[in-house]
Amino acid sequence: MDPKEKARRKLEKAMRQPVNDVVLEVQKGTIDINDLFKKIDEKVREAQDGKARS
Amino acid sequence: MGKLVASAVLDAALQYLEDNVDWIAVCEGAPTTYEHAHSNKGTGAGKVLAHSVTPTFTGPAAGDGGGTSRKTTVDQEPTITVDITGDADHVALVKTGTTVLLYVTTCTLQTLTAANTVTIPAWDIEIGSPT
Repeated sequence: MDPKEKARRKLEKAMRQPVNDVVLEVQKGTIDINDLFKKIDEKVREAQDGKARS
Repeated sequence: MGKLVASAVLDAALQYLEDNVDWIAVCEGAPTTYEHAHSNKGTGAGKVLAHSVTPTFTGPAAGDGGGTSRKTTVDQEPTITVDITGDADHVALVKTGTTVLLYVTTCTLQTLTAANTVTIPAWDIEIGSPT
């Protein structure tokens, strides 16, 4: 991300005012690399199938 | 046979998020499409209760899982105005320019009230080492 855009976003965030603010509890997103490789394989196969059909 | 992935490979994936995410949404129910994560609940198939167009990231950096795991931190998104009352249980990262839903995670269910604010604390996205 462009550093200027990042700074702009951070400034905008800092200027907000809370109203009965609720703080969420977000669960960490962990990606299993093995699943990732399987997904890449699936996407490659889908792309190849698409090319074969066209 | 040993498996290995260079940090640069994982960093490229995490950097993709930083370079492309321009919308973070708090949703009621699991968003699985762009529309779910971009339209307000009550509008079409929308599930959004609150959103912000100022997501920022810190990282990529070494992951908590050891090895070559890597993570990026989605910075805190403070005091977002709630547009629609509902039960928040998912957070989504979106690229609006090409209308793509890029990432979804869960959060502990919290009821949000329209016109109040909601804060999404900083949270991590981590890609583990191959095993």
